[in-house]
Amino acid sequence: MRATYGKYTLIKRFFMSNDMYQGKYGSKEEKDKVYEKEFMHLLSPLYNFAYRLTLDEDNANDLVQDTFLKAYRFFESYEQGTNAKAWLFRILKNSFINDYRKKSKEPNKVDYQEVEAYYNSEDVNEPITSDLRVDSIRDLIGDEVAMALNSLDVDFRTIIVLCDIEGFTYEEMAKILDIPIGTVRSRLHRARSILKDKLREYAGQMGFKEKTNNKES
Amino acid sequence: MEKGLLSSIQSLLGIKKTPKSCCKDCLSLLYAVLDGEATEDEIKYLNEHVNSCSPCYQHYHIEKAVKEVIKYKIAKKEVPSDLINCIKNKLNQ
Repeated sequence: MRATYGKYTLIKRFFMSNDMYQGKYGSKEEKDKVYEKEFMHLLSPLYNFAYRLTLDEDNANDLVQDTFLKAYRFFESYEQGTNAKAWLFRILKNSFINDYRKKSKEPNKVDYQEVEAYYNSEDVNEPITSDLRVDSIRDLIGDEVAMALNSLDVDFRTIIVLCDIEGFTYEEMAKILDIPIGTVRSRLHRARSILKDKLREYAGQMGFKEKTNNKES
Repeated sequence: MEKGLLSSIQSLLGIKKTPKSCCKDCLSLLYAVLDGEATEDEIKYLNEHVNSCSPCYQHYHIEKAVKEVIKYKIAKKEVPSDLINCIKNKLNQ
């Protein structure tokens, strides 16, 4: 995943204009062809990931454009046929941290590292969520599930998206997020625990609604 | 049926059911299985365990349902129609 090129090579490639192309793909046309074949079909998952990070369509649009531009600039360090999706997701995540997160007004609600330290040090022994029922989870509508997910702190939201929506492995997530696998596990634990609390709120509201509707009818 | 009846009686009597985690590692194992990260032996162990342990059975199905609604119920955002052309134009600049 990581570029193994020296700094100078990367800087040169970064600033090299297209007509000066002399990289490993022979011609710019060939490079563009491979680039398009490897990356363009990933536009939709990338845009959706960007949207879940920024929660804003315009910012998601910009973030995806940045990602594809960076991927093009550093395309030489990408090994053709390897994990294109994880490679692009990592670039997008880094762009988000560097360019958007600083600007974003969203306060860091949870000092997740503190929480992670706690979860790594203690045996996770959560109480069973007996009041959350399988049926009431399945009865939730998409918007409620989306709102519950969106209400999570961005780091928790990210790991849920990568794992449950995109289906990345723990190892891939560790690389995308630049964190150890143990941290992937503990962050997932914490994220899921908070997510269940949020879903429970919606499931509870729905149960209440149903009851009042029944009374009325 | 029996379980449902038992919990109805418990709720009628005002007994709050507070099942405890029966084993420390169950949740981690449960996630590993649901996330496709477990070995065959671990999957086998969990399946057997879940069938004989009511709290873990319940927990397993809740976690599974949560994972499923996240994957299937959240609507995908449609990619803006001009995004791909925007990217291609920028690449050729």
